[in-house]
Amino acid sequence: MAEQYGFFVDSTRCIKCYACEVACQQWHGIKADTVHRRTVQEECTGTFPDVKRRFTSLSCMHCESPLCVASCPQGAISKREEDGLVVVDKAKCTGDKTCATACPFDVPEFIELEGGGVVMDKCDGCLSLSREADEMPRCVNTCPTKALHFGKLADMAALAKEKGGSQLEGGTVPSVYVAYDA
Amino acid sequence: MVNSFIAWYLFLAGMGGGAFLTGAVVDILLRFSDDPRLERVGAVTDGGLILGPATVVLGAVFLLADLGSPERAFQVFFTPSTSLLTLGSWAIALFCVCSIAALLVGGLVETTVSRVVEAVLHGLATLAACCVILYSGVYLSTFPSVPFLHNPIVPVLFVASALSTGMALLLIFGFVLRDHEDVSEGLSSCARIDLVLLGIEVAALGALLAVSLGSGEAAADSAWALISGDQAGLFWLGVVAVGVAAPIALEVSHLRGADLFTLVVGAGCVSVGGLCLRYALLLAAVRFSAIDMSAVAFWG
Repeated sequence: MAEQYGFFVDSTRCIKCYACEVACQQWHGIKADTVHRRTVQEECTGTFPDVKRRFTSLSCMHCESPLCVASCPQGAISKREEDGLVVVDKAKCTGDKTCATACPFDVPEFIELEGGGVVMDKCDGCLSLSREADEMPRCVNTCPTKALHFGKLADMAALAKEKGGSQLEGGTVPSVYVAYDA
Repeated sequence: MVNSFIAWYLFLAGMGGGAFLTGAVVDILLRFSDDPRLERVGAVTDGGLILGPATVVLGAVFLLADLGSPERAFQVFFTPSTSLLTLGSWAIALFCVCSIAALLVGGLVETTVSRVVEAVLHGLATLAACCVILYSGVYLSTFPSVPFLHNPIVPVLFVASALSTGMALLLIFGFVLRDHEDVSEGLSSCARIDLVLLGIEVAALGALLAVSLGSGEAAADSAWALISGDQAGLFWLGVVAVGVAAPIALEVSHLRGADLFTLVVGAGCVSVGGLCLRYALLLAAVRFSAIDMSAVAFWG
């Protein structure tokens, strides 16, 4: 693989405006009340009046060792050589949901096709929108507070380090760095 | 992730694969032995060579019905993949084709060639039947994201249940053909084998619960869901009372002199219990999402 690409989610800047979610849904033409490729997670800790809330915008982790790829009996999911992004070939998917069972991050969702049938749907880094290598995914471009970043994983690690962030933990080695308020 | 289609598939494929495997093993042993006890057992277990494939084919229909896009299912045979599901798909297909072909060839005029072809097909179907009853339990036990089933005891439990429900199917078959003397004589021996299989199943189930209760939180929660939680009714009534206690009591009664009707009721209970076991395990299991460190339903 040439070089792994991934995300850096700067939670210290996220205001939970959902612009990333909306941009993703709109650009990819995903109908309401179906699937979400990107979701803003909210974590609330403490009790009143010392309550802390933090928001983390997450999608597919494009893992270094993705279990979804290994588990798919159809070989419908693959990891790209050029950037390490994990993509699904919907023409091969039978909707058997093995990937959803295997994924430790509960990422794969299933969407109905117009001609019938149900297939897996997840973030593809906007490759299906013909995103060029030097372009950003729509969620990153849309984020009004610049909380989302995309690029070579080494660059994401450097950005995260500046904010005291770290790579998300997991046996599959997620290609996502996150920074939270101290 | 899983639903009634999967529970029925696991039940039918296990029962059919178990019935065929029992019939095939006895059939192979009889080619090298003329033990009269084995011959009596064989008169009953031969039914597995027909009922096994039919039951697995029915199970495969449930498996296909579960797919979101079943019309693409055939692609699994043209796609190189290391997934256990690929192995399982091949095993089911190979089993159905070879077992049915062996029956057809066995019905032809007997020649040296037909005998050899039948033996080869029979051998392939037997190997495939081993895979069919083994892979699903192994598959379910491979996901760390499903802590309750991520346990090496799960494949043991599924295999024991497959063999006992398969034997139950054979006992029901034997009861239907009880007017044949050799069949009725073999039923008691089959009942003894079924009791041993039920014992293994009980031991595996007990070990799974014990290990789960002593392990991580999510697996323990699933075990408690079976013991005293949402699935307790299904577990205690369907799995323990109907699936284990009643058949053991009824089969022991038969061995002590009760009539064949007692035995067939026990076999029916084993079958119902096998289905309840699969429902209960799938309903009690949860998936663990590393995103928000929470458990999400495995069922649905």
